[in-house]
Amino acid sequence: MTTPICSESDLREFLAEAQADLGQARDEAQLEAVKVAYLGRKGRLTGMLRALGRLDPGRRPAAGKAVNQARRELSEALRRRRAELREERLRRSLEAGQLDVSLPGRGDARGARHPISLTMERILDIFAGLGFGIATGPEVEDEHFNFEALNIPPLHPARAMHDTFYLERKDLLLRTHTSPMQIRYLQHRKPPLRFVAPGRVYRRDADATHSPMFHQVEGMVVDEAVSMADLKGLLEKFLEDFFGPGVEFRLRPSYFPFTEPSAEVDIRSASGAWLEVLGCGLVHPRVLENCGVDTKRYNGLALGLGVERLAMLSLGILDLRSFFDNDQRFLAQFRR
Amino acid sequence: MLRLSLRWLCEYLDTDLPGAEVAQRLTMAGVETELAVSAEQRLRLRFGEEELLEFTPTPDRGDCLSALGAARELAAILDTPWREPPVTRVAARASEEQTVILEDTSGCPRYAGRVLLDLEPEAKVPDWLSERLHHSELGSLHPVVDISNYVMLELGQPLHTFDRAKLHGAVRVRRAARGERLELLDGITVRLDPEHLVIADERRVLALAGVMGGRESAVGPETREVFLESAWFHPERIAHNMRAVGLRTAAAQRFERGVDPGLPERALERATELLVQYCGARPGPLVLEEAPGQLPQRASVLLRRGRLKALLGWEPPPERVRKVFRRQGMPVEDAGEDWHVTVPGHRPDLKLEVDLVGEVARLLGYEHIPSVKPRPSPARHVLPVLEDTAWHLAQLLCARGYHEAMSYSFVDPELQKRLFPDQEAPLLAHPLASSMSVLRLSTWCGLLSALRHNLRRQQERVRLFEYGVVFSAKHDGRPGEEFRLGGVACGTAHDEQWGEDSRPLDFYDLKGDLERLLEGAGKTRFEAVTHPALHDGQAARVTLETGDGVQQQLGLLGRLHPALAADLKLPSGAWLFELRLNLLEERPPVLKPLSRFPSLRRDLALVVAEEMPAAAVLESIRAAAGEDLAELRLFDVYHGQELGKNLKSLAIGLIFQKESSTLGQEELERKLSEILAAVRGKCGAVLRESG
Repeated sequence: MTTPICSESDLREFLAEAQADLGQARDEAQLEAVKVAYLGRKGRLTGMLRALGRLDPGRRPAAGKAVNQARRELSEALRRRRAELREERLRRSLEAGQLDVSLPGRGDARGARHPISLTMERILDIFAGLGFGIATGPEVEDEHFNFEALNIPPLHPARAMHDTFYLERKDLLLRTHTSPMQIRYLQHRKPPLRFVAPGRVYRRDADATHSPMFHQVEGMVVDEAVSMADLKGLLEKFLEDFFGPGVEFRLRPSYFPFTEPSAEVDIRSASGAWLEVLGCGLVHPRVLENCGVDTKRYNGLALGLGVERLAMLSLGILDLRSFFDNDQRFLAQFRR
Repeated sequence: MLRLSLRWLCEYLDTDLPGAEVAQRLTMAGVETELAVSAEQRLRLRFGEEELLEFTPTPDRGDCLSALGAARELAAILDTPWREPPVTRVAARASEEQTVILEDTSGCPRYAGRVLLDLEPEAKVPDWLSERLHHSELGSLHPVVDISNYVMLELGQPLHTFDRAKLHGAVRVRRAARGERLELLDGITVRLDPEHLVIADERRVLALAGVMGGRESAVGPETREVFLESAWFHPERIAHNMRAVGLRTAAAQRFERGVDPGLPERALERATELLVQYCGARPGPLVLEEAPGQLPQRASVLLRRGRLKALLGWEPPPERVRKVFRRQGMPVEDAGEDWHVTVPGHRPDLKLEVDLVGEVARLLGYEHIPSVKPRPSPARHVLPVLEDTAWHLAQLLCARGYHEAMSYSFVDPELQKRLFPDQEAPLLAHPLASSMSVLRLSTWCGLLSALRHNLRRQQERVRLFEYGVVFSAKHDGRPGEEFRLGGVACGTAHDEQWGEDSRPLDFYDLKGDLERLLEGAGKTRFEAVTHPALHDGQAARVTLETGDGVQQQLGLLGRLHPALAADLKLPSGAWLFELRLNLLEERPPVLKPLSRFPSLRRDLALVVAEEMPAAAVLESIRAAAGEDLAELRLFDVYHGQELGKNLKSLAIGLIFQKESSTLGQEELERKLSEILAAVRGKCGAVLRESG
């Protein structure tokens, strides 16, 4: 049954047969079977090699060379077919693993910070960068901190500018501005000082452009020789950081009982109109005296920002009421 | 409000500037002025071709509430001369006098008056005069009233006229007696007390000084003789009087801000002149009662050149400084480098040196002030701890799908009472609406309103949070304030998406959100609680163990009580939470070295009574296992008939890892049996039989 040793043409025929078998193998298991059939211990080619021993010594070298050549060719063909099959398998698995990358990813959408918080954060960040500390204080105040210490005595006409929410205990009120925090902060510290006081404030007023609750940030510097020029420089820095370089602004004389001179600050809108954004001035000496500051040596500047106003201007919000409706469709637009 | 035609102003000064430019210049000097109405409106209102200016001076500038005052201001701004109208002296043509007695000389240190007789019944004021009144919305009432109103607009001095036939005896300027009553012109009766300054006669109160006259002594169609009053009232007294009526009349508005004490006589003469001319009146002699010592004095204020420069950061030329004051009729004397400025009666707002600095700055223009870069910063500051904590937690909540809300600090007392029936809330004295009349005790009222707003707008899945101050009523009436973070959640557990089954949000979703927030907070514990706003059995309180082992209540979470949900027309699956932020503080991490040795996991299925809290089981495992237990994972809770009635099975993964050696098999088995003994003893737990 041993394959007789054969002529070169027999060998070629044998090789062609083997290669056809290789080509028939559809996967690596079948390929392995073909390999065993030819090159295994009982394989046909292995048999041929064994049969060489029975040949005439004279014919052995030539026949051995031919069989070995055939074996190398077969091994090579096997290797190629194996690579082909591997390639084929990889291609098929890639084909099977195609995803629709356009499907939405899993998980829940993020929420958003409130536009007032975002605006507040920007304002505080700018001032923090300028070395301003942050003061806090109660929202329920008494007349001393909210008015009297700020140079607004009882019966002062300026009290009409503040429609005040009084509590049942009539000497208590919801603070009408963040300025009482100036007083609280100054009372317990020594100049030089610079700080901001952010928070909710309340006025008894509600219409399309007034909310009974809104947010302010008070800024104050108390130092030696503080001037209107320092105030202008600080405003310029703040407004450029907030609205972008080149923002056009102007100071317009105004009146606040706790500053002198006083100013309103307007910025120029895209349409060319001037829009009021904040009030400021040099701290009235009486306010500093009320806090025990030596006014021979120190004076100060103060400014009060309306956060809703700045948020509306910088974020393009048109209706003040939308801040407090808490509509998710509105809020979600401030994701960042 | 003061609305004047530019043409009227031009009677006192020469300017050819258009109205818009005049308004702009006044505004930029601190007297807010607008062109009153558009051309079309003006045409419709038959105001002719005149440009109308509407002045809204700040509360310190009562002097700008008259044509003369506005003209003086404009002249100072434009640096141009102005003409003071001549003061007429009207000779008496009757001898009738009205006796005036000043009882409260501090409330009224100057009172001028005059009797006018024989008023023509058919008298009419000229059209130009009634038109000027009309501009300021002072309608034509009675020629005598019109004339006194006109003089107020012209000079700034409010006048009052009494029907002389209704007066009995001397006119007294005095404080009201407690309980005295006065029916005012507008028909409202006010009850007075000694804080109020009144004009009275021998029988009764005639007028609330400086604010409004009484109905009884008012001039009417039958009036033929009047007593005309022109006085200086103390602003504080007027403020008291104004509070009595709660009305800021044109007169009160001027007196409150301070009228020039030099005006009463002059205004009286001017009104007399007009009454003679247009009403044919026969004037009696001018009566003047005064207490000059009680009148505000013309003060001389020192303005130091160095101070001016220091405060403005700019040195205006001295001649311009002098001109700022002289142009307004304020004498200036040089005192070396400095100046003494004498402040006239019409500028009570100029009291201190800083006021003069402000005056110079506004009239020369703030645009001259240079801009100086902020001085270098000594330090960079950070948010105070409480705000910083809130900020940090807010970011985490946003990442978990919550939107930040902001709601009013005053809420509906009825809703709040339903949520917190045992707590008193601080009340507002005069709320804007009854639904906004108490201070919030919690963020929940606002959040539930916001939830409702969103649900009504087809937002089915709502996640909102808010942080801020909430209040509590205290015995002394001063409310307590506390910083809290609250949230509301409703709808499905997750956004609708493919590949995940939709399920409603439950307690453990919310608890998971809170656990993530509190991961860095220290030892927290969740315990069942009952709360009037929350569903029994689906509510918990979170406690935090503070340094000395004390458990403090950090917050609450739970499902909105079904009865409340029904009343508020909210779905039953609304969940709430709230945390007290003042208890959270930043804690430095406590690091443990990482073990080099392999870890071993054993899973236990423990059967316990249904009511046994899982936390108790985990806690006793932890206590029994000691420090070699690296992690504990509860990965299944199973209820099934085969377990037996009222029992549940908890599947728990225990991961052991020693720090300094490999845990041996024997040691592990010993530990497990110790753990099983402990949970059996403490929680009655038995190993679930397999199969």
